[in-house]
Amino acid sequence: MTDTTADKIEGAVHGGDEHHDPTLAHHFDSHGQQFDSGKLGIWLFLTTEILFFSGLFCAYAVIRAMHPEIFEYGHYFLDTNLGFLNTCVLLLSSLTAAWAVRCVQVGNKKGLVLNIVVTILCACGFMAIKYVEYSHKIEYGMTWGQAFAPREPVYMTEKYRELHPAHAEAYAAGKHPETGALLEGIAKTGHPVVGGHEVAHDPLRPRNAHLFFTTYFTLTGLHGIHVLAGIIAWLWILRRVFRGDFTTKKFGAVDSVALYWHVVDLIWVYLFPLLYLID
Amino acid sequence: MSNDHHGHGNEEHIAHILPAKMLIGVFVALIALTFITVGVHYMHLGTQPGFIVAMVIASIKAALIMLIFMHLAWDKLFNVVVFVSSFLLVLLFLGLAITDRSEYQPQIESWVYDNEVQ
Repeated sequence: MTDTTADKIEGAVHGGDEHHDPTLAHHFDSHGQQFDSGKLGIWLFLTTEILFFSGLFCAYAVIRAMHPEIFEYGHYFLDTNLGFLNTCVLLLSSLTAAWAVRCVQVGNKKGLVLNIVVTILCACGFMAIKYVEYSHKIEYGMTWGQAFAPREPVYMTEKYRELHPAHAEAYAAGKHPETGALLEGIAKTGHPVVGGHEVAHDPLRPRNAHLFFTTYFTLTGLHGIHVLAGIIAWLWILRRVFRGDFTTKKFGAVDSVALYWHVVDLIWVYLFPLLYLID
Repeated sequence: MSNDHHGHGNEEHIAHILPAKMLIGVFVALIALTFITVGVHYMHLGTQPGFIVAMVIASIKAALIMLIFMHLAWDKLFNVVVFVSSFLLVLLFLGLAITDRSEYQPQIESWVYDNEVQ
């Protein structure tokens, strides 16, 4: 039998009859220390993630502080019900992520697989709902920056009609809701065209209204990218579960991905009221 | 199923294990708080009070997620300090940016007047 160099080193380090746990790396004294070291690493990463998002949250804060009318105008174009559904989906995925960690800690492999699969499904459901929202907005011209060209005025949106029915009717008839005077420019004779779309004339639209959608798309877009990265991470964890990598003492990777996932959920918990629940 | 592993031969206690009941309880609380957030929104308290209430409820949800789902209640204090410091730094960042927000407003207003009002 020929020993490789690695085998010789292995033999030299561990001696002849020492029991060696292959799941404990050489430079750690115990599984607890190995686990704690990994934990510190993931917490440091999550700190950088929070700071990463803070740039966009700062932009949101400054723009909203300076131009609250942009946000009061923009939020009518968002569907609160879809945002609420997305919040519940992510909260469920957080539950299954935390439960997956519990399962690996007690050695319940079936439960571990089930919880990871449900987490991934919830994440995909979140992306699907996002896709529905985004495609509706893009179709109706409610995009970012210079491309902002909404096809319908704000008083024609469902949300506005629900909250201010009398105002909506007045505007639709071309009249000012309080004085009843005829408004200029509510064109029945044709709408201006911007970038190939007809843009509805909207007397309620503030200057720089596109900033709301710029903020909305960058914030939710960056969050969506993090959800996608999380799906990939969970798929990798699932692969490792089937490979038999985890024991009740070595499950740091599952714990780390679950912590990352909770941060993704945390960000959405704040995004939901900031974007969808503006009064 | 017990969540503690005391004296199982040579087995070390790696980390606190969350009881299933606690997991479900926190989930139910989070969903309830989400319902409350939306409900308060439909009460239409006005932009400012609505914003404050929404942020307070969101922070309660965040605290539940951080303390329980993310195990911070049972984790080493150092990890808690590392993570909480990020939020303090974010507050500092946003705070300083907002104190500065009106700095160039006069120049913006005069540009708008010159270019768009005419």
